[in-house]
Amino acid sequence: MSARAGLAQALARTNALRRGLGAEHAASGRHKEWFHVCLELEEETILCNFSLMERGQRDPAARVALLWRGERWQGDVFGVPLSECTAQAGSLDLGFGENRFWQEGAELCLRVVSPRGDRVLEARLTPLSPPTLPSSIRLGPGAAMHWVVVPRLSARGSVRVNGQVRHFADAIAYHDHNWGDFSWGHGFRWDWGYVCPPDSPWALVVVRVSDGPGHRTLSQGVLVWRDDVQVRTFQDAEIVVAQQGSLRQHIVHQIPPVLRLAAPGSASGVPAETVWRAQGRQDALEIRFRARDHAQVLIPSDDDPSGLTRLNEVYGRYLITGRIAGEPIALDHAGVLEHVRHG
Amino acid sequence: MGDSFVRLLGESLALLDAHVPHAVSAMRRQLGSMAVVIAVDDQVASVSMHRHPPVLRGDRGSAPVDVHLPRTVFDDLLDGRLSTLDALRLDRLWMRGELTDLVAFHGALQSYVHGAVRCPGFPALLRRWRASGEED
Repeated sequence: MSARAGLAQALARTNALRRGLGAEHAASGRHKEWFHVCLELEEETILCNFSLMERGQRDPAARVALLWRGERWQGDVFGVPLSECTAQAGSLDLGFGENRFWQEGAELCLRVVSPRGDRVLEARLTPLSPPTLPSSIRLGPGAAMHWVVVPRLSARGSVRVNGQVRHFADAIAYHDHNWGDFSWGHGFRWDWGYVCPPDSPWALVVVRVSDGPGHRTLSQGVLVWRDDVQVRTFQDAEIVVAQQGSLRQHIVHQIPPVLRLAAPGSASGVPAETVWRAQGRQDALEIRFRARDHAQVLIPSDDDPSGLTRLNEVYGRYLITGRIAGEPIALDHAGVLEHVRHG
Repeated sequence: MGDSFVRLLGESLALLDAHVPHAVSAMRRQLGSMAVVIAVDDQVASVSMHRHPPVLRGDRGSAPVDVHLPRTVFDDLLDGRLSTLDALRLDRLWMRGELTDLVAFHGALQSYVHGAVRCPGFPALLRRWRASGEED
């Protein structure tokens, strides 16, 4: 089997949609599933997300989020009526109206059209390393989230803004796929970051899931890749995380816009700096993330009728030093860290 | 005739009552027997939550809380281009009332929004509201 065919098979096995539309599963009322992509282009960072989320009802809500950070954060999240959606479990081909996210051979492909049609993103992503095996995190009694990561992909495609098309090639992208049965709300928070500099063989993903107030860490990890090989995973007791300060930003881009009415003010719970110190078996890393600015995706909490879950997408700088298998690492690169908070 | 603000507000309260009743209960707790007058351009609604279902009249009357704003500002608030606080500071949103009554109204407004984003029928109402603006 060629490397490309092997990659296609690995993607098909690990990254397929777990629960599709239709009656093939008994709805738990809490199933959530989403596919997240971050694209690093020369002039902007683009985040897009396809999600299917059950909110206590039989049918899930289908949504697409498209956020981009150029000189400032812009973008929106929008729902698509289920009558315009196709999504079958066991494969990866989500069709949400004009928007689509699918696997084609060893490539992940996406097309996103903003609700007003003024921005269209089309991209084909080739993984430069295989997807991880699924990982699981318990989020409380009967609640768990599972995830698969492809830390580095090569992206080509185009962005059309108000009729003007910009093409890109050999851009770096990141992808994760998350699914599970849980409720948005008080039960947990997480910090989730990734950095994959284009001029370095290293790529890193950092994950920490805590209880709602952030007093107890449920799970944490630092995943390290060199080229296409995952060379080290630091876990739990090997990692100490410190957060300090508070990111102050007078105007925060919040989506969907109507929820700004329910989220006044600029408090976000986003730390100004987060530091992971990971050490074990003669390997050591310090990962320092300095937050610069952020946008918020607001989700009505499932377990609190007047609560919101805030997905803070924070843009900042990763400063990474250390040594893995005797090889020194020194990285200084912009990236995104997501802080999920309830409030 | 297109969908008026008063008609859509009335339908939205009925939808909330049917699908997210805890939001209506919260508004009732916050407002008690107090009536609120809301005027968008020259479309005026007087809302009382103390009865079930809520009472909505299409006239100004007198009320402890009086809120007035142009439709353009209403749409800016819906689309996140303007916060409530900035609209007040910029004198684009006008409110009259005792401070405690205005705080109660703000709480009821928050409950309404939280209910609206959890209510399946609201996207269709919002589309009708936008369509009514295009007709004008």
